[in-house]
Amino acid sequence: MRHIILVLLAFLFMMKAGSAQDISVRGVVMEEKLDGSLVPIEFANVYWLKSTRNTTTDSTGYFFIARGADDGDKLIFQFLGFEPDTVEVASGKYLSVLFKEEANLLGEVTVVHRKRTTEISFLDALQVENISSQELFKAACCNLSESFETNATVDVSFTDAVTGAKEIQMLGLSGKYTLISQEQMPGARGIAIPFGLLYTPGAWIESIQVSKGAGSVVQGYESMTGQINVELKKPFDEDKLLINGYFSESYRSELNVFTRTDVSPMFSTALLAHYSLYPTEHDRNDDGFMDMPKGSLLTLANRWDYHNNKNGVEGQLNVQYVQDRKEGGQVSHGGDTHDLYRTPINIDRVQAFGKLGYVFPNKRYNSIGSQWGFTRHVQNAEIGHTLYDASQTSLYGNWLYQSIIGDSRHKYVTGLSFRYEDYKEQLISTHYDFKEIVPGAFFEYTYLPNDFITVVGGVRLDHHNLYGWLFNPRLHLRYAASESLVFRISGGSGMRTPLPIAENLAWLASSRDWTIGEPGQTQNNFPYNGLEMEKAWNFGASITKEFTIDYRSGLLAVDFFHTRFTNRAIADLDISPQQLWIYNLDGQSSASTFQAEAQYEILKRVDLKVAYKWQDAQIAYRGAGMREQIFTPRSRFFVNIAYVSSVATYKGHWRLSVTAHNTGSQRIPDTDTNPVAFQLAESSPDYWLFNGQLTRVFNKSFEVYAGVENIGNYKQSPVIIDADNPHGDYFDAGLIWGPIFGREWYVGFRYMLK
Amino acid sequence: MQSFNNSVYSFFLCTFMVLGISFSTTAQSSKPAKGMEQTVSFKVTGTCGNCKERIESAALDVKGVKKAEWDIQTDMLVLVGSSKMDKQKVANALAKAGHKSELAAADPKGYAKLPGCCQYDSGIEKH
Repeated sequence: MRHIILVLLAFLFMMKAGSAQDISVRGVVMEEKLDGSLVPIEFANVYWLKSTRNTTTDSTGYFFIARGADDGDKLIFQFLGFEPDTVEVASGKYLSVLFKEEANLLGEVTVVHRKRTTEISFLDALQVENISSQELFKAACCNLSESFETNATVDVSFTDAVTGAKEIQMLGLSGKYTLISQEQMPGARGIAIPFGLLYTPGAWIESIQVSKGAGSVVQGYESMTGQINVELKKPFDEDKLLINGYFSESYRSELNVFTRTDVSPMFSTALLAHYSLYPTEHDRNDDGFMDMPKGSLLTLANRWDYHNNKNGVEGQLNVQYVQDRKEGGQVSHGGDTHDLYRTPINIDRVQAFGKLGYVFPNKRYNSIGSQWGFTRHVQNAEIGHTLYDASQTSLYGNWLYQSIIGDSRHKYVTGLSFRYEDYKEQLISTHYDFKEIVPGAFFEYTYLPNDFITVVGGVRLDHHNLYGWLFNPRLHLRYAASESLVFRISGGSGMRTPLPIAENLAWLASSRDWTIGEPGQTQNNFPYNGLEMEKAWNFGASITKEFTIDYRSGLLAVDFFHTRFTNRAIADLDISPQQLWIYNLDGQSSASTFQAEAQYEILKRVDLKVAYKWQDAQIAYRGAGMREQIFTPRSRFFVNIAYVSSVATYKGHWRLSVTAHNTGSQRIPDTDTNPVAFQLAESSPDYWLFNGQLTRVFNKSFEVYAGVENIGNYKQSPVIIDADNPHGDYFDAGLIWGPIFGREWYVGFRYMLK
Repeated sequence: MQSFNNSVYSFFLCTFMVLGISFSTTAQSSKPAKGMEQTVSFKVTGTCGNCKERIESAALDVKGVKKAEWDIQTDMLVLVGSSKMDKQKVANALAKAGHKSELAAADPKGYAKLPGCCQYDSGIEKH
């Protein structure tokens, strides 16, 4: 491990040699009228200060000027009635030059740089990584949980060996502390936590934004470690038709269809469909249990978009339906399943959301927005003979007003929100029903004195019907030392209501007796026998550096984040291998992560991405003092090499992507009171996973791909403790730290029509 | 198996190295790259942003080309490349892709495959 890092660093130092030189500068010169409208300026004179080589803008305000060695880096913009201004062009970006009309005074020139398409945003005060659909193509398939294969920030793992549930981790903490949103509306949360990631098909995704740290107050109080926002394909943009098919060695089969149409110049609609099938019972490790539940998943969505640039009205409507049917557990060999340990899980989910916004036509900085959401999630599950039925009905509303104070250096967003949740759960014979009614208000101020400094400060106050007043402040600072070097710091608090059964579903697949909260001795009326709300503070700092060496671009990013809980619902598996206690934190709990990432096009058309992450999460367990949080790798390391045979994407070409991934050692819950045969080590070994994929693009509309996951065929062993006696005292299918599957190949195709 | 101390060691090593690089790369601005580098330019016919993407990517695929930039207003293609870059080879590649230039006539097969918006001989105006 150490050697790999040294080699990587040696390589990074070598990259220092060489530098970039630009050969031309392009851009547009506009005049901003007092009413905020933009008018292109024709015949503006643009020339290099040093050589006086010049050009003029055309009728659209556009200019193009070549840059020779003797031209220097200062461009002068001159137009009658305005004072000329000098702009330093450090690297050949597309320039937007604004002459401002200011009541007969000669206005100043403002330079706005085009937003870059790099993975980590430079202009945002929050540290946001954008995962494009091109990046998603590198992963095998098929849904949101599998979309982070080439991303170092988010880790995904199976939670247990029978239900197929998956969990993400970010900043060393479970995904439940990350706000998962779909187009900035509430995504998989609450009861949907264990399986929600499976419900967003990869082929539907346009891009994913991963932001680390406290986040914005506009989206609510729940984000503690960050936010993962998924943007689906839009009804008004890109391909008219997309068909994607996938088939794997274990007969997993998927079909995705996306089709869109413009009903009128302002109205457009799209239909999205997904069907996947796991038709057979596979038991490749011969423990008598299926490696993945067999079953099917159907997801359908219909979306509408309305855009009227003349009157400034924008609207969206999205309706989604999910039907998930699956059954894991012991293999039946086609026989009777009555006496077997089986896990039938049926889920139906309906989701609808709408957005309506209005932009004041002459004041582009001024807008009103509203977001509306409805979700109904119904789940019937049996894990072994343990019944777990649950349902959730959610209503959501968010009303925003955006404007400026004085001028556009001071912006703000303010608004009101409302959330209603109705949870009904039944575990064996105990009912846990409660409602949440949470009205709230928020205010977020952004100070942008120039291109180099951004300050975003936000506060929100909510009133919860069970937990009372909730106050959450958040602050983000961005400082750009140069055009390519950005420092960020952030801090803030977040809160959430624990849902201990849904969140710990994995451990229903064991012989453990559950104790939730403090039955019979609670001092309060909180749900789950007195579990309090989870509350945490998050602080972070990051440095992002973009560079170009020999005309090829690269990126370096380092960050450090620390999350500290003031209350947390702890799931304690160490009390005994036959017990699970879930209780309020009494003492400390925190998680720290450090991540370093480098990306560079090392050779023409060969991209290298290397990342290292160190994590340390500690919890004060009851009666045991501070201990490491279970199933949290102490380190992660990964390398991805991607090659494309041609940058001319309109003609046929090949794409190749290879990833090596190291997962560090993880603490396993104590099993030392079990008989020796059913004991596990105190911690897992570290292990490597290798994935590869080859894509043949025939033309703009057709491509096929094939790949292998887990090339080294690494598997956790044993996966299940005492798999022969699922109703015995020692059975446990919830202690998962590594891959359950071995090597697996897959093939797929994509057909697109413009 | 990796020890905890090892992780901490790697962690600090990584921090310092990456920070070091961050700052040292900031300092450099416009030193020329190693080896002989050449800049050449010639006119290539095209009509729109779509053509621009085609012309630049086809040029970039040619050996030795490091950067290609085509301007819609002037039809001028500016290339930067190593000493191995041969502008005739670039012109030939563009001709194959359907774009005529000062140095080569377009391959009719390539021209026929151009999207409608890029068929510059059809009387279409720059857009």
